[in-house]
Amino acid sequence: MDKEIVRKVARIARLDLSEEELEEFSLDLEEILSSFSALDEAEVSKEHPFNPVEIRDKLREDSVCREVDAAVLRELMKTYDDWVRGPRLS
Amino acid sequence: MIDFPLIEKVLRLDERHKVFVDRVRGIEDIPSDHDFSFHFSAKDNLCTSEFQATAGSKILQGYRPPFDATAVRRLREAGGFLLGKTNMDEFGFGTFSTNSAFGVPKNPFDLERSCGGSSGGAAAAACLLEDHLALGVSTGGSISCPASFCGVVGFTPTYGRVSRWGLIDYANSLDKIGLLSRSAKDVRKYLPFISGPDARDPTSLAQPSMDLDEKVRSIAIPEEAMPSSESEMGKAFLSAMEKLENDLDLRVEKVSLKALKYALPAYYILATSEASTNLARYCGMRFGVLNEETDEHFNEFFSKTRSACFGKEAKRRILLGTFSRMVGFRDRYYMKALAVRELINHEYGRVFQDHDLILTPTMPFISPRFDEIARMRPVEMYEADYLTVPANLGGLPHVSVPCGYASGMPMGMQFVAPHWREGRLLTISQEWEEIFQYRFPEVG
Repeated sequence: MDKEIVRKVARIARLDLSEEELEEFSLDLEEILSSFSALDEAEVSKEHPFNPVEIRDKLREDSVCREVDAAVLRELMKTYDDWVRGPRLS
Repeated sequence: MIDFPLIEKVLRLDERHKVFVDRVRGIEDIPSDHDFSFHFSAKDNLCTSEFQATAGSKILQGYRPPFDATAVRRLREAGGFLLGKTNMDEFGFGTFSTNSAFGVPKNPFDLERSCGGSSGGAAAAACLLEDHLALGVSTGGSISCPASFCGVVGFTPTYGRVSRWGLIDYANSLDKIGLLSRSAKDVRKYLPFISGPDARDPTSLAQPSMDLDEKVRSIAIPEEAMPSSESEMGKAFLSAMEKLENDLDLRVEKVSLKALKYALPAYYILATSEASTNLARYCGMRFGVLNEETDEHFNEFFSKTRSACFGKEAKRRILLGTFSRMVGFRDRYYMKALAVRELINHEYGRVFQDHDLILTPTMPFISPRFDEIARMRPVEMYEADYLTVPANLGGLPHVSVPCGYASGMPMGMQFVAPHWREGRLLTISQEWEEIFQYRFPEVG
């Protein structure tokens, strides 16, 4: 696979890859995708469910409950004065 | 019995075989006010409140969930004591458990060989500890493969039978929680505890009840999966086929399942597509490793932690999955793979009209040595899964049981049943262990 495509895919996936990694992954993906070419000849119908078994929704009444203490989650995220810390947007 | 000798043994075996990512430290970790009836372990991608949950990834190092996965909670309620969290390939990405950020589990029969993957630590624990129950997770064969390499029973239920709540997702439409143990009797005993609807996992709600005592009369063997009769696996498999026919009086017939050849590419495309979206949540902000450099632009902030913490195979699968979903490639790969899954389930359904179960070898070879694994190309590793992937892709229940031994190493065969017919697998695996003696290594 072309190295520039791998570079583009990596950028979308938020991965910084070294030149060495780009070389390696483009060779790997080339090999993997060419071994997957058998898929092209498969004759399939237009059906393509997203789950392997039928999933049916079951509705329930809303009820008030607390599964996890929010303070524990804030602790895990190391919040600062209850503010979630994150990177700059610009 | 949860006592000092058991804990000592766990520590000793863990030292030698690197089974756990996190575990009990000593007898002081056992609550004295509880009367436990059995011990179990959980694969490290299942959340539990007293241990870390890393899913074998550096990016989750130190993450301590504030809750138990449903399967873990239900085993505790059944009287189980959790010994620890078993080692695995990072997020389940692997066939040999060599892709963990926390060491590589070593095979109970030979320290130079792999336990299989990705539930490698679970299979090793099930083999090394008597009367132990290991919770494993399979996406494409991650219970069957290590069960085969470690010589234990590895049971994967139908997709949706066991709630996935509290599981660190690899691929949501493929992940299944199951059990590994030395004996199918334990699986039969504990499977009903972990099964059943759970409001927290909507995919578990449509399941019918389980008939544990279904009869088995006929078995189909796909010609496309027959091993060479000259190979070690081939000899063991042929001998097992004869035994099933003669000793259990089963009708064993060859069939053709031509669509099997499409299963491997379809599986890897779906699994990596789903994984690449699931792993987007790991960005240095919410779980595990947190990036302290909040002055950075958000693109760099996220990319830095991900690039530093994900292992090579995780990066490879994120790239493959992201590519398969991209505009221009989506119809050729992702949508086609979804349709192929449907095709394969249709073909399985055709065979199940005349047969109760489908049988193949579990893996094409005995567990390889670590030096052999180091020389394998990624595509060769993926291809090693060609026997376990089809049933997993279709969400079909399956069980791997030991069927022979070569060079001192165990080999497994895998029975597949129609959706929701786990009872047939429990019946055959219990009948099989009555007529075929399993071997376990002598451990100190």
